[in-house]
Amino acid sequence: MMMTTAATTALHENHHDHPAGFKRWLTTTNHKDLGTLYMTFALIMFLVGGFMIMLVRAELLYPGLQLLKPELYDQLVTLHALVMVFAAIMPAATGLNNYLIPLMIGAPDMALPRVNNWGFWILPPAAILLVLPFFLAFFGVGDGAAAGGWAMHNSPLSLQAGIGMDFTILVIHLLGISSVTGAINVIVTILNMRAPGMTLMKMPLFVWSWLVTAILVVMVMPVLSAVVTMLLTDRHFGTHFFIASGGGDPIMFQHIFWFFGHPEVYIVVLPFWGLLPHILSAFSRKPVYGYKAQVYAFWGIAILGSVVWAHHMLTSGMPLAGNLYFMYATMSVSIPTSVLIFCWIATLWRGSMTFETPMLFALGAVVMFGIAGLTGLVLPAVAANAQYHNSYFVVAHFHYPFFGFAVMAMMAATYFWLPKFTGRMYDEKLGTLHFWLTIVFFNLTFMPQFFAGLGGMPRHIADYALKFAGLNTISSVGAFLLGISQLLFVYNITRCARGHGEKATDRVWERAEGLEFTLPSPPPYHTFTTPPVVK
Amino acid sequence: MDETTQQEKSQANLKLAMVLAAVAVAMYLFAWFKDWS
Repeated sequence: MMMTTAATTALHENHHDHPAGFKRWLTTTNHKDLGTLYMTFALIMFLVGGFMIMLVRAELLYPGLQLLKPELYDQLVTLHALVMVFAAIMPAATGLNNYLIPLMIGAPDMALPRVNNWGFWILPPAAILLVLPFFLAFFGVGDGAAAGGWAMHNSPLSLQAGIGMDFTILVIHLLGISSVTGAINVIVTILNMRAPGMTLMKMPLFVWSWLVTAILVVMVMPVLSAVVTMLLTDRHFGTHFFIASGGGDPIMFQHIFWFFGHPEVYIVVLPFWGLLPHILSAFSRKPVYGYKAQVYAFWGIAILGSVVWAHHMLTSGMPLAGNLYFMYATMSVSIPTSVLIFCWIATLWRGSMTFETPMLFALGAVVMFGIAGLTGLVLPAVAANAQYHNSYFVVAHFHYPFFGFAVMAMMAATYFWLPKFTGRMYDEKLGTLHFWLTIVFFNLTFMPQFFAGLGGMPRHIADYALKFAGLNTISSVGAFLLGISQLLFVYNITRCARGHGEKATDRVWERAEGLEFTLPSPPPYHTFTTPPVVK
Repeated sequence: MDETTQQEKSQANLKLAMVLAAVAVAMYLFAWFKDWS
């Protein structure tokens, strides 16, 4: 500790060896700067994506068409999904890995810092290109943004859509380059840059989860790029990969898409599975239970999660043997995920728990993940899937892992590490209020959608049968309140970032473990240029 | 860390990054050429 502080104090003197202002952020190769940029970008896009869905929920508040024409509605739903997955949740997790992985493994920076800068600065133009066609349509240019849903499932629509689809195809290629270069950087950093003594099985679980996530990204993101390149050549260069009249197969698009799309779900949630034990352990004042079991569970989930893609296509007319295989394989994913949940509960068991905001969000995320897992178990049941498929039940289900788990775990992580990043404590009362409003309004929004779906309400519709009016009104009111509650989160972060609030100690939390907590809060610009020795 | 060690480390990082980039390209081509039927 003494050596670390002395070394970092000396490095403080080099703090001014980089440009200031906008040029600093544009040209930075520092992992903390890039982590901050990623997380800030993710927060902005979280609000943008949230605003889009507010408009959608406003339309669904009552039956009938009030605010949006159906084509605008479809575009907003599609953009909301693409923005939230690719521009909010994934960059948030990438920001955390950028900031934390070098600190957690005792490395001075990421292995490929310039690639890191490039990876980030692809994102803002890509996000602008994604939403641009939506606004261009108001000026008579093109016919709006992509509208076929994030999975672009409706292949005739994807083939015949206007420039919005071409913009989306370009954006997906850009995001693919950004994600794959970022993932390569993570793998190289973890395998080559660990401090002496930091063996693989001593790495924090967050680092492990990111190693597995990054390998998944390298394996499946290129597949998404490939399928949208094929879509591009079908649209403009006379090929017939997905055009039945030319001998192609529209279902093939779904196979290739979901070969990427299902592992993508694990890409989204794996980093958060890895960070949760850090928080649960700190606030139950006990070591992480089942470290090795959790590492093996990450691998098990990654491997199993890569061979279950067609459970999204159980109604597409696959042979029965195919349907049964994908059903059982999907259900078997629940074994390693249960290992994780049991390890988390065992970590809490008989601990001296306190319930600060990060712990509240972490516990909330565990419970929401339980609902996500259980509703996910009934979906691949071949016999039942015909009823669930394409219904609002699916919409409700996937928001539980994505928002209920991933976003809430990200909020837990933000409150947990924000004092380390900014050197200031957030407002605990506001944090607690933010938690309770979020978990209540999240469930108010999505729980009714399970029942609407079971009652037969399909997804991707701007209007619905009168019998679904009550459930949709509750869901919309919940969504508005959930959206407004997030302003507390923005306020709390801004307050810390602007240097207000009580000063954070180096350790921040009484039982916080890890190399990052041996550094000052906030950590200096350069850290671990002399690697620490891990015993 | 002395300069030679630093250079060796950078070389090792670059090599591993190139191998991983090749895997990504291979996966792109796999999606094109696999018989998905």
